[in-house]
Amino acid sequence: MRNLLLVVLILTSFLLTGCPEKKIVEDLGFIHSVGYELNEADDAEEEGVLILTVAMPQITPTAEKDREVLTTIAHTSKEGRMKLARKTDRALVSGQLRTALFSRNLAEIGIFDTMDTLLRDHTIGLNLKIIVVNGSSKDLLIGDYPEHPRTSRYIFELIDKEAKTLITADTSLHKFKRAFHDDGIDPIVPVIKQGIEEIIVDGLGLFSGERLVMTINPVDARIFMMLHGDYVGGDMTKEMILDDEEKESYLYMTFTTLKSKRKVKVNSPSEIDVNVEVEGSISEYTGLLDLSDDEVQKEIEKKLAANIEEVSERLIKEMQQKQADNIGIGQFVRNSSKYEEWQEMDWKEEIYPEAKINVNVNVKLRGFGSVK
Amino acid sequence: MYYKKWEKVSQSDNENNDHTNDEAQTDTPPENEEPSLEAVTKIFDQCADLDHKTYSETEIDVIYFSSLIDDQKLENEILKPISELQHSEIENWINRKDISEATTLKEIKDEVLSGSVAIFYNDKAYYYNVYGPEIRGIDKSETETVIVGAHDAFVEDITTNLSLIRRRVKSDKLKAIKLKVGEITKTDVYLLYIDGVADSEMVKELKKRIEIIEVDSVYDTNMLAQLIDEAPDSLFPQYYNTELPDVVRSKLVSGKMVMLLDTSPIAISAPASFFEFIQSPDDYNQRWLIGTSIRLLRAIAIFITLTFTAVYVAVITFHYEVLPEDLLITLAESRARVPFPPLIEALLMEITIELLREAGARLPTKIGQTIGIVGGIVIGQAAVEAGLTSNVLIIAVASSAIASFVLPNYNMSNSIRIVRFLLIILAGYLGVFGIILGIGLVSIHIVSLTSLKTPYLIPVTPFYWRDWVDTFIRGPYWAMKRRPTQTKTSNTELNKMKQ
Repeated sequence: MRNLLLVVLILTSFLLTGCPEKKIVEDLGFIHSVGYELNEADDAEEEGVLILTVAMPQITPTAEKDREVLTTIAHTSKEGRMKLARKTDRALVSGQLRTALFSRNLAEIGIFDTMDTLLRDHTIGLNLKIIVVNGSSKDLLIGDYPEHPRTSRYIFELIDKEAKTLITADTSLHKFKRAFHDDGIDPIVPVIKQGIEEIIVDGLGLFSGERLVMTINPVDARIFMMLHGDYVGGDMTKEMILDDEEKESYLYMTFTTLKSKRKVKVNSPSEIDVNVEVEGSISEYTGLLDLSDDEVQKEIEKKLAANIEEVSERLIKEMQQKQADNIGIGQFVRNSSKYEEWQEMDWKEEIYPEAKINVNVNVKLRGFGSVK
Repeated sequence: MYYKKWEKVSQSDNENNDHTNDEAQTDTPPENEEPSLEAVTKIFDQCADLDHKTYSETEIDVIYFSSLIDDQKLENEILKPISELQHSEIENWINRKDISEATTLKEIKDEVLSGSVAIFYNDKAYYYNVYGPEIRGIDKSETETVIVGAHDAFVEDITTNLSLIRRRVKSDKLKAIKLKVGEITKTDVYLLYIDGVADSEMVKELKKRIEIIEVDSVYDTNMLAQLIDEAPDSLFPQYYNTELPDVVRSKLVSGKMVMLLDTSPIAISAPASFFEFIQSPDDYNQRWLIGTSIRLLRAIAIFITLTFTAVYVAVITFHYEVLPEDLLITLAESRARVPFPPLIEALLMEITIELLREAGARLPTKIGQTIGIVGGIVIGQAAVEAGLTSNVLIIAVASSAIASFVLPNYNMSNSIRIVRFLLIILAGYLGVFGIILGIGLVSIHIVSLTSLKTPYLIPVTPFYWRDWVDTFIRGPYWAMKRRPTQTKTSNTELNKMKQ
């Protein structure tokens, strides 16, 4: 009797579930990268406003290229995918999507409409990297990079590695969405551009809401990351002329950050102190001075701090103009004010652009290399 | 649940006992008839191997089975004295030599059948045991190998087996109940337990179950186990079987009962829990951390055996998302050449491996090795090159086959292997959901199993924390203070039976 029940149970589980859709790997084209670009042609209204490009790894062993790139013009992302499906013998699936590239022209008018499908599709993981392309995402994906086969994987690894050294940020779909919806902070994304037979990380893109409003070059990006949060690692190279230096030209110093700590102090919503404590060591120095000298070290610390402060203030000023609060100062203001106050406050449009944001940087040298 | 059926039969038998006796005993002589030479020879009519010697001088008749007795012993102790003695000395000799007198025909019949020589003298029947069949010497176990520890294993002779156990448990508390099973074969069964440690109710229950067995013959202890367990239709063995006297000793002292059957080199112990099947004597001979690690490895091996191929099928068929990109591309490339759906592909390879295993087991050792090479190299390599399977599947199938051999118990290893096929088929239809469904169903089944009316999955469910020290882990000896809860023993404290 019990065995009969067991059989019935198994049978019902078969019948009730029906047969799920089979997705056998060799029949699938798993999209690894997707590129979105604004169609700026004259007939964009009729043809579609979006240029959609997808790259997927090739699995037919006899195929010449190691990847398959498809591109089309459509009104929306999913419409584009249906058009793309007509061009390939494999079923397009997005379960392996790792990078979403948005061309700058699209990012500047807003990407949230396009991103909707990425968030809605349950097969897409939240670890998907959001990247802005300085140029055309279509060209970037179609381009040939002979020394870096499998472009999409190349991009993925590139961002992954660069984010570790804090030249750029690693913005997943989850982080982007969170920063987008959160009060008092705006998303940041990495920017890449197409070089000759290579792809180059081109700093950071700062969003205000869903629009890209400014970009930061890779050198300043390092300093921006110090303001953005507590970080470990990353190099900075500065031309630095010290007071007692006898050598006159080619004076460079590379400073390796070991640790940087950011503290935000809200005096009042319109007056905020950002204190950054940086600790690090010197990894390259082309001058003649003895770095073990305390006086020299103090001077380096001071000059470095001044430099960082200067860049920071410039960046903050520009962000204030563009109404982009990517550092997340608004969060600190929100946390230090009452709920009603914050609700009444029009932080981003009124207070933030006019706020007085002081950056105090304190640099501490922890070492100057193992060789004197 | 055969024993339930027999229980009813034996009850109804008892009710109309007289009735059946009258009907049955028309042809054969009544069991309590006087033992006479004529009656005995009539019983053993047409038994060519029955020797019947008549000493006309002393008027002695000797009857025995030449195939059952020890020739030397018979010659020295019975035949020689009889031929030398005078008529008058016989009476004395019989008394002195402690030759028993049979009072009923049944008694003398049974004795002759178990290797005694029957002596008829002066209208009386006597018997003297000269049992000595040809037996195999004590050898290593073929199915249970121990690396560090005693290597001797049971043989087909029950007295040898008993001596192996007695030598290990030198205690008057080791009791052995002798029973007979098989309506025709009358095979000896010994039920062993340690008095004061084993639960007396359980001993009673087990004894009753063996007594009421009604089959022509019981071939082996594994068959005996199937006749007396609670769920004969289950995939899983509910009694622990072993060939090693060392294991029997540990079962006995932990309060379990052990059954031995004549002509079977295997002992079974009851009650058993699922976790006993991942234990090996080696665990106890190693230091406890090492023993624990090996035991955990076996637990992992069960999971690999059960799920590896099934997960492959599920992932390839339904869940491409879960794979890392690099692996996915390799997989897809090797799958691109395969003409079958993943389920068929996997079943094909699994059945091939099972064929190889079965062929290897049936063939003599030397040819068996060849089969291994043919299977491993030819089929594995060629199947991938011919595009019949993907190479990742070969890895999956081979790993799960290897993992299945890690289990120390052959019976359990077979059960797990069958469950694997269920999971592969479910995975092919329903993906990971199917695997979970399958494992769920199997878990429900295992949880509901009982071994001698005790839970099979003890101490996991029902949960007994203190028994965990000897299940997944092999705890240090200082922590093993109590006997397993499953034995229901009242004598729970270990090391407390000094005499």
